[in-house]
Amino acid sequence: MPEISPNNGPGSPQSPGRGPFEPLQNEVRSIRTTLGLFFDNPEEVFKSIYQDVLALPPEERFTNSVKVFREAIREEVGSLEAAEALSDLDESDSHRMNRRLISLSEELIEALLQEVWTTRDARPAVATAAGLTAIRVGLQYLEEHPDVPDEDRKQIISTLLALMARIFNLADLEPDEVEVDEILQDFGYAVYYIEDATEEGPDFPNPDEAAPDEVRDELYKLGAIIAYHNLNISVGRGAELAGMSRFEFEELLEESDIEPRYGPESTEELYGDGVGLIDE
Amino acid sequence: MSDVSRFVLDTNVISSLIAVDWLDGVECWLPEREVHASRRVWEEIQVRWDLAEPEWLELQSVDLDGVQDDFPGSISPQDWSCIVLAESEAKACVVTNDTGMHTVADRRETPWMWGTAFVLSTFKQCGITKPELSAGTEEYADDLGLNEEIVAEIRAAEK
Repeated sequence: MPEISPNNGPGSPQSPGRGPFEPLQNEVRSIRTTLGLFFDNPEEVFKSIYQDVLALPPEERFTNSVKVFREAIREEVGSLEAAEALSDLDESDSHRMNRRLISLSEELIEALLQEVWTTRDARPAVATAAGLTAIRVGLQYLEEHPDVPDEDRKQIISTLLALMARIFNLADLEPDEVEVDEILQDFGYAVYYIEDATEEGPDFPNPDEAAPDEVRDELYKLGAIIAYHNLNISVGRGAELAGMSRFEFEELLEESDIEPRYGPESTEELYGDGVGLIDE
Repeated sequence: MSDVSRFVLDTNVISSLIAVDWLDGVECWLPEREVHASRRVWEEIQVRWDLAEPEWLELQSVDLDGVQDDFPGSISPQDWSCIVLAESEAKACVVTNDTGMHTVADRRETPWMWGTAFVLSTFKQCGITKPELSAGTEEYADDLGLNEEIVAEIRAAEK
């Protein structure tokens, strides 16, 4: 049974041999094995694409990776027509792929959030969940808005590809090779660019203009909200993940239209739960 | 059930009592019963409230090293300090409004009590007067997001 380990709090080192993104790395390795069914030499294909994507400066990477992806596929299959057949899917194929990606992102988010139960410093996991939630929101937006302007569509898909490139690259790294700040910065870009494409104005700070610490802290807050919304953790635990006092976290929940799970909600609960009333 | 000899208050409960000026009423439980909080909890309180610790409130340091649970990340170290404090004494119960805390307490068979049940018990124990209860109910309910059913129950409370 795990120890509560209060001293293994935020800022403390990870367990030896275990990186902060290990749950994500394991999930991605599993996905890559599955995708291997569709390509003769998937490792080379993936590596070539994600290295090209990661070589782009962030602003281009999160807005124009689609172009790199198409060119890479064209090189892979040998002709423009075949590449277009692969990348320009008809509407039903596109919907099916979208729904599969939404489902996949939800599975990843759920897997990442499980870290919260057992790992004291689960902030990298919840920050990753925040980045993937942005992707899920973007894909859902495409599903619900078939007439989305081309530029926004391109930005959402490019953000998905940029993040996939970062995540796929992550799966090749050993724990001591993982640049946590660089990865968190990319999750910050993902949140920013998805908000930019799907909302009137992004709330999340632009990582090009904000300090890396600010981007990281905002991701932790977003991840903590997602964790609190999805798991029956205490308000105090949510605050710990967000790196805030519990009073600040209560305000953050209110701003996010999430009710803290305080009770009771009925007189039955008031008198029947726990030890009840003490009336002498 | 009245065989509770020690209340262990969590941060949210203490803060909600301070907000409506009901905290001093808790002293009515002494000397028959004790009221405790952990130092971790009191440090959290001081983030929001500039307040000296009441003399009747027993503050205790809690060592969490070696404490085990299948889901240690369900609650914060401050929350754990309440659970462990309650488990260290027979007939002690954690007073908390947080359902995440209740889940942990139930799993570990640690007695717990709603903060609002504690308020009504304190009222019936004459720690809070009817005018004080009436004056503070709205703010107390707002602070915790209590619904109309519970607010009506607090307003209707009689000794």
